[in-house]
Amino acid sequence: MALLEVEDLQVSFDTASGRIFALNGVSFSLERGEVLALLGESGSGKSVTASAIMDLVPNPPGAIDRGSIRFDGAELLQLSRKERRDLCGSRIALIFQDALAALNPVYPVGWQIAEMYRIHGRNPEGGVEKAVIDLLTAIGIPDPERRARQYPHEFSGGMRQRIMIAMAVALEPDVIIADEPTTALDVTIQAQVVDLLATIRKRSDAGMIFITHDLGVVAELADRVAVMYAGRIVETANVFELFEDARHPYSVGLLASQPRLDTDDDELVPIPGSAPNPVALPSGCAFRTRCPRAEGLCAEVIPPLETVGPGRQAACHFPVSPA
Amino acid sequence: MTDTSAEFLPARERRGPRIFWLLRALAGDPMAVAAAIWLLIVVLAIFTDSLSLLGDNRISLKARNLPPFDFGQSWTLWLGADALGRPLLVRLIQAASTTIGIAVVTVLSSLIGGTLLGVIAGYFGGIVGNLIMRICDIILGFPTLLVALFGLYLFGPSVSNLVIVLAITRMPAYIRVARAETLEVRERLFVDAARVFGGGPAWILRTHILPSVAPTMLTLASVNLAMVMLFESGLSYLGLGIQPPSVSWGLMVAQGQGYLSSAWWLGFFPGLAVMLTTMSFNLLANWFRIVNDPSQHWRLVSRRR
Amino acid sequence: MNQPLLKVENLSRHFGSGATPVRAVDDVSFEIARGETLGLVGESGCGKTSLVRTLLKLGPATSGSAVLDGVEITKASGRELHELRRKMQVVFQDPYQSLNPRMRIDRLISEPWALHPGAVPKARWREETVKLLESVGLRAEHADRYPSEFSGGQRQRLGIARALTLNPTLLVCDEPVSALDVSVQAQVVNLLARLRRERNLAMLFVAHDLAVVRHVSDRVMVMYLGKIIETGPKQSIFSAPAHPYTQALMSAVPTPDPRLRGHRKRIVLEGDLPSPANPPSGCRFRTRCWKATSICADQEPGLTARTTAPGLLTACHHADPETTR
Ligand SMILES: Nc1ncnc2c1ncn2[C@@H]1O[C@H](COP(=O)(O)OP(=O)(O)OP(=O)(O)O)[C@@H](O)[C@H]1O
Ligand SMILES: Nc1ncnc2c1ncn2[C@@H]1O[C@H](COP(=O)(O)OP(=O)(O)O)[C@@H](O)[C@H]1O
Ligand code: SF4
Ligand code: SF4
Ligand SMILES: [Mg+2]
Ligand SMILES: [Mg+2]
Repeated sequence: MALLEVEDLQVSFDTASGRIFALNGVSFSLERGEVLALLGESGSGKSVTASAIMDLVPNPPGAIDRGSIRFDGAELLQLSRKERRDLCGSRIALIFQDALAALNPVYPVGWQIAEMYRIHGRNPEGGVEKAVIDLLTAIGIPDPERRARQYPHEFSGGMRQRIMIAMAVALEPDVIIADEPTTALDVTIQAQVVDLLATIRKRSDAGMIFITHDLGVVAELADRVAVMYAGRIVETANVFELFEDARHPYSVGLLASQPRLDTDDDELVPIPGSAPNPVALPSGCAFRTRCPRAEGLCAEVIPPLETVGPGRQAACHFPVSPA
Repeated sequence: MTDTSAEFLPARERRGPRIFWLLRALAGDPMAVAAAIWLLIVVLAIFTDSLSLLGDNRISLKARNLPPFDFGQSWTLWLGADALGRPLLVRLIQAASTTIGIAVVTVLSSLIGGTLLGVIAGYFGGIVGNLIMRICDIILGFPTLLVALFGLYLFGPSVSNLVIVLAITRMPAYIRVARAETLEVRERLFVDAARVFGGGPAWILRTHILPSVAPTMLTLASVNLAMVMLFESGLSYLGLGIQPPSVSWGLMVAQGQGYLSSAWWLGFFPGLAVMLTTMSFNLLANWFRIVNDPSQHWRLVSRRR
Repeated sequence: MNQPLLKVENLSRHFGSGATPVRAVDDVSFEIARGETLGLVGESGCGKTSLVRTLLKLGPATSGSAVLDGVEITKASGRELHELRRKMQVVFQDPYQSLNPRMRIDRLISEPWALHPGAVPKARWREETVKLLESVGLRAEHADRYPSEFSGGQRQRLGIARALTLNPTLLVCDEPVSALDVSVQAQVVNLLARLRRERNLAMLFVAHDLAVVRHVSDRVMVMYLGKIIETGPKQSIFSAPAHPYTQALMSAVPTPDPRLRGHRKRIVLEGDLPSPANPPSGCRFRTRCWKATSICADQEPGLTARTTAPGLLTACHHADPETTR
C-alpha cells in the first residue's frame, strides 16, 4: 500500500466568471522515501492539489466535489476537522511557495519553529530550545542562537525559505509537500535550497511531493514525475523515462520548449497557443487546441490515464510512440 | 507566474456608437437604472419649474398644515402643505433647482479644481507641490463649518458666495486624494512606457494619469454631494445660506424640524429627496467606475447571458 | 568594425545621497554594435533594471556617459531626447503592469505615433497596427480588446509590437520572459530572434535565466553588485568562464537531464548578495568567493583580457578558465 494515494480528486471554485474546475479527477500515489515531482505550468492545479491534501481549500468559494485521499490507510476526506488538523503539520507538512507571506512578521523565527512543537504537544529530547537551534544549524544558518531571536524580515529570501523547510521537517513528518520552494529565488540561492532538500531526502524516509514548473529542478531532485495540464495528470513516469521518451504530447512539447544551458541549437520549439481558460475548457482532451497530434476523437472523448509501460501512465488517445 | 489566459473571452460588441454600449451597460445594473430614473425625475422637475409651469404657490389659509396623501385635493397638495398653506410638492420642486444647482456647481468646481491641483502636486512635487499641500493643510486645520461661517459672515450671504465658500472648503479633500492616487499611478510601469515613447508631462497627465484617477475622484464627488447638501442646509438654517423666500431642500428640512411632532411631512419629504438624490449619485458613480474599468465589464454584460 | 551603436563609458547610477548611497550601477562600460545582441545576466538586485532605466533616461545617471548613434543620452533633453526615443525602445519585465489597463489595444499601439507626428500618418494607423499585430503572431481583431483580456504571453507580444512601432535600432528587453511559463517563454524568445533577424535590431537582453540568454545573445555580460565582472562572446563565456562568480552561476543552473545528477561539478555558493549600500572592499564578490585571498580585499580587480578564450574580459585577481562541465 502506498503512503499517500490520491484518487479521482475533483475540486471546483465558484468565481465571478463561472465555476472553475481546478482539478478534474487527479490520481497519483506516493511511496515512502520517494520524491514525486508535480510538474505543470501556472494555473494547472498544482497548488490546489497541495491545498486539498492539507485541507486548505478555501470553502467557499472552493469545494472538493469528489475523490479520495488516503494517507497511511486512512481516508482523509472522512476525518473530522480536528483530526485533519492534528495530522497536518505533524505527519504531513507543507512548504509554501511564498516564504515571506507564510511567516508571521511579528514573531522571531525561533519562536515560530518552536510553535510547531507546542501546537502538537511534542517534547523533543533536550528541550524545544535545543531542537530549534539544532534545526537552524542543520539548514545551514550561521550563528543560530542569535538568529533564532531575529524576525523574518531580517533574513534573506533564501534563508526564509530554508526556515520554512526547517519548520516543515521539525516534527519528522511522513509526507513533505513543497510548493515551488525555489521559484522566487535566484539560481545560486536555489542551488542551496535544492541541496538542502536533497540532504533531507537522504536522511529521512519521508515521501516528498515536489511542486514545480522547472524541468531542471525536476531532473535534479525527483524520482518520479507527474505532469499536470488543466487540472489533470496527463503523464506519470520515472524521471529518466520522462526525459528520454515522454509519451504525452504535452510533456514532449514542454521538454522541447525548454532552453538549455549546455547547448544552443538556435530554435526552441514552443507549444503554440496558451493555457486554456479554466471557465471554458475545450471538450474532450483539454490539450487538443495546442496538440500537433490531435484528431477527431480528441474533441469527443476525454482520454483516461492509462498504463503505457511498466510503471508509467499517460492520458492520450494517440501517445507518442517509444523512441 | 500568473499566466491565466483569457484568450477565449468573446470580443464584445463594443463597436458601434459608445452610447449604445453605455445603455447596454446601464441595463446590466438595475440599481443604476433606478438611480438614473430618479435623477431624471429631478431634472424634469427642475425643468418644469424653470418654465414656470406650476403657478400654484399661493398662501392658502385653508390648506394650513394639510397632511399628505389626501388624494381628494388638487395634485399639488398630495404631499401636504406647510404652516402657511403652501403645497409641499410645489415647494419641493422649486427647492430642487436651488439644491441641485448649488450642490452640483459646488461639487463640480471643487472636483475639477481639486483634481487638477492634486494631480499637479502629485506628478511634479517640488516647490509647487509643497505649496499646494501646505495651503491644503491650513484650510483643513480649521473646522470646515467655522471657515464657511467666517467666509459667509465676511462676504455676506448669497448663493454665489455660498458656492465659492463651500467649494474652497471641500477642495483640500479632493487635492489630497488626487495627489495620493497620482503618486501611485505615476510609478506604474505603463507610465514609464509612455515616457520611453517620448510622452511629455502634459501627454502623460492627460492620457494616463487623469483617466486612472477619475473614477476615484467621481466616487469621492458623489459622496461629497450629500455632504454639501447638508452643509448648505445647516448654513441656511443659521441664516447664512439661502435666504427666504428662496428655498432649498436643506432649508426645508431645517424649517420642518420644529414641527416634527405636529407636521412630520414638512421635514420628511425634503429629507427623503436629499437621501434619494445622494444615493442615486453614489450608485451612478459606482456604475461609472465599473464602466471605466475594462477588467470589470463582465459585471455589467455577462449577467444577461 | 566602425562606430558602435551604443557606447557606454563609466556609467554609474546611485540612489540616495549622504555617506552610503546605494550603488546600484557602479562604473559600467560596454558597447553594442549595430544588429548585435548583448545579453546581461545577474541575480536579482544586482542592478540590471537600474542600468536599463538609466539608459532609457527614466532616471538620471550619477556619472559617466552613454552615447547612442552619436548622441549623448545622459545629457539629451527636449527635441534631442524626443528624437532619441525613436531609436531606442524597451520591452518591460512585467507584461501585466506595462500596458495601461484602461486603453484599448489599438490606442496602446498607436500611442507612440501620436507622440511622434510624422512617423506614420494617422490614416494609416489602423493598417500599420494590424501589420504589427500580425508580425508578433496576434490577429487583427485583437486591436479592439483591452489588455485584461490577454494572457501573459500575449501581453508580452503586445509589449513587443508596441516597442517596434517607431522602428527602433536598439531594443532594450528587461527580463522579457521571466514572468512567462516555459512553453510560452519559448514563443517569445523565438519571436524576438525572428524580429531581430528581419529588422537587423540591436538588442540589450537582460535576464536572470542563463539558458535563455545563451539562446538569444551574441555577447554576454555578467553583473554582480553593480559591476560588470566578466564579459565576452557567448562561446567564450559559456565554454570557459574565468570568473569564479560566473562559474558558480553556471554550475548552479539545474540541467534538465536526470542522468547528469551527481555527475556534474556543482559549486554551491555560501551566503547571499551583500547590500549594495555597503559593498565589500576590493573585489565585491570576495565575501562569497572560495578563491579569495588578501589581495582581493585590498585591490579592486579591473576587467582584463584573458588569453584562454578569445575576447573574454574578466575582473578577478585569480581568474582561472577552468571549465565547469
Ligand atoms: N481561491 C480560488 N478561487 C478561485 N479560483 C481558484 C482559487 N485557487 C485556485 N483557483 C484556480 O484553480 C486553478 C489552479 O490553480 P493553482 O493555484 O493550483 O495553480 P498552480 O498550478 O499552482 O499555478 P502556479 O504555478 O501559478 O502556482 C487556476 O485556474 C486558479 O485560477
Ligand atoms: N528607486 C530606487 N531607490 C532606491 N534603491 C533602488 C531603487 N531602485 C533600485 N534600487 C536598488 O538598486 C539595486 C539594484 O536594483 P535593480 O536594478 O532593480 O536590480 P535587478 O534589476 O538586477 O534585479 C537594488 O539593491 C535595489 O534595491
Ligand atoms: S488526446 Fe489527442 S489532443 Fe489530447 S494529447 Fe492526445 S493526441 Fe493530443
Ligand atoms: S578577485 Fe578574489 S575575491 Fe574576487 S573573484 Fe577573484 S578570487 Fe574571488
Ligand atoms: Mg501554485
Ligand atoms: Mg529587474
